[in-house]
Amino acid sequence: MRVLVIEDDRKVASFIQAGLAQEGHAVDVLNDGIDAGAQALSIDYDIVVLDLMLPGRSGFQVLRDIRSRKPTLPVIVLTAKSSLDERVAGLDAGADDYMTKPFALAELSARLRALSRRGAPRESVLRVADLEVDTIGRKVRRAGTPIELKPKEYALLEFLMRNSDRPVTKALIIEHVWDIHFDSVSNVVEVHINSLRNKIDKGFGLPLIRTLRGVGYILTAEPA
Amino acid sequence: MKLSLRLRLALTTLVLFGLLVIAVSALTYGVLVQQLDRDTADSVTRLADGLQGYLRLNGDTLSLAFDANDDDEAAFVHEATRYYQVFDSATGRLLAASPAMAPLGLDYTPPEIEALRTSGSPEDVSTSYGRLRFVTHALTLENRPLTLVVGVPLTQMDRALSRYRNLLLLIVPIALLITAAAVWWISGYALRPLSRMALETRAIDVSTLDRRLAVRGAGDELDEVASAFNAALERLEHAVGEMRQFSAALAHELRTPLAALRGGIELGSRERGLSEGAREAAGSQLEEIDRLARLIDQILTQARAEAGQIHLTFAPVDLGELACSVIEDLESLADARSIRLGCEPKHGVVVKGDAGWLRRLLINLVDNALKFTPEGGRVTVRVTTHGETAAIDVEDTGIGLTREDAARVFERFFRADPSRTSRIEGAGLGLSLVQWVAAQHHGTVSVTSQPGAGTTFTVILPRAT
Repeated sequence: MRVLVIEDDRKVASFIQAGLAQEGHAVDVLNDGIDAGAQALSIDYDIVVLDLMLPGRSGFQVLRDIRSRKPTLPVIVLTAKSSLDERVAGLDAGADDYMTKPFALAELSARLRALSRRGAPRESVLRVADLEVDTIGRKVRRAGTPIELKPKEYALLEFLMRNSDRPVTKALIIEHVWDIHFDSVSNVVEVHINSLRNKIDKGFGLPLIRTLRGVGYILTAEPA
Repeated sequence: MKLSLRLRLALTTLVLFGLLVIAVSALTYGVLVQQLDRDTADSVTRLADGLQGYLRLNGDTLSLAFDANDDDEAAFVHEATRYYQVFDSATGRLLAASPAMAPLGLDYTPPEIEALRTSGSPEDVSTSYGRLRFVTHALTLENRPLTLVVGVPLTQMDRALSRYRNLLLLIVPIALLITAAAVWWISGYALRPLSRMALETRAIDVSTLDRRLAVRGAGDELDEVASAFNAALERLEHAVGEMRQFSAALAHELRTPLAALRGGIELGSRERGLSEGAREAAGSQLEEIDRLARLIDQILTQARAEAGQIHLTFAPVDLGELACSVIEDLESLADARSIRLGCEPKHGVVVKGDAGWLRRLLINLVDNALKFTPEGGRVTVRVTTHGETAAIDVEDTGIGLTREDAARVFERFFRADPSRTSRIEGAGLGLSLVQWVAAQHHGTVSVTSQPGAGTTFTVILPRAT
């Protein structure tokens, strides 16, 4: 994918660039908002990562410039503000997704992936190794054995399966499985991962859910 | 013993005024006594001096020679001889006396007469008819030394003085009573604005720093106090405003370098050939950065809340439904620690509130209860109504709070005694946010606790009508 990163902090920008390049994306970086709109429109980017606090021209203005000409170009907004109001303001202004600093590079990749897959048909049966999730009947089997899950455990598993072989962060899990107010409850994700492991990994050969310290979790059949 | 300013003012005034009145009374009484005394002394001396001229001695018989037709002369002699005696100084024999003298029993021996004659000073004598004042004059008639004793009654003077004394005894207490009442009333009147100012001041806290004391416009000392206090409030409000802005700006400015730091560590940890130890260290650093970011988030939320920058959207919320859905979400947290988490809702309890923030309030309370409840314990959320109010109780069988801790549990960054709670994480902002949310809904949150037995947090909200 070709990604445009508009971020005034050079260090942050260079880490984003390096992180995304490692995953095979082509990344251009701009450090201010002055030419950002023009460049986003003149080159055929797949996705834009936009900091809201920019010198020259504010992120909101850049966002409006882009939206007026390319309404479908996915834009992920970055900001140092995190309150709900600001998140809503960013999304209202036309952003497709929203991330607050500091963020995990793994989370940025996950969000890019999700945005690029947007509109693609979703599989109704997900498989990783001998684990199978039927998302229509909400049924889970491992090695042919049916497994009973509580609603939150099921939602967590489906989210991990849809992102299999990719790290997902706690913030992403909370956003998709719980609601925004759970960010204050420290260990809700750990507890659910734990109970999920007890049901789908315990007693089966290969553990599928792995913890990536400092990043989050990954569901994969690949050996560590 | 502490006396009110009003009582002290009244007592001091009363004592000072009382002393002054007593001093003035004593002084006037003294002057009056002196005046009357001198008048009496003058009058008796005048009588004695005048009477000498009318005395005639013939052998042992003393007579009075005056013109009975002269009214003035007759009146004078009559007055002077009302109380008089004449003695022969040599023998001490009584030569003449007015009839009124006999019942007084004033019989002098010759040595006494001699002493009287030489002393010459007036002498006051108390009798059963009242006091009398006598003067003694030595004179010589027909070459015989005589002693003349002339007296005047002091009854009139004594009566005047006693009337004045009685008057003072009546007037002074009445004056003191009137003074006390007046001072009590005046000081009460003067101090009433102070009590009102104290009342107004007590109602001012950090969320109402924009309030000011009423200045009555009288331009007096109390207005001055109110103005000075208002100026202090102004400075305080400004300082608190700056502080809030500062904490918001600080939290904001910290995020970008944290993002750079996190990006650097995360990239570094992806390097191939990294030792397991290095990977662990990087992971631990990333966790610390996330913890720091969460803390900054909480501080920022708190700062914005206190600065009045968060606006709630009110709509009818069913508290029972909300409570049970929060319990459902948190059940797994409780299961993981073998805590029984129960919901006892009353149905149809509706408040006007912001569902998101009320949810956060409940999550914070239940999360807090779970943290401080040991394995095998119980946490119960109960929704009840009391007339116009709805109550949410979050009750646990946890370690409880000491009385001192319970009083401070809603303070920002407050952590209970670390020797009892060292394993428990948190910045100490959750309950302070709970209090803020309750206040935004015109409600209150309170805590009752029994160390070792458990804690109950109670949120009281007005019901929607």
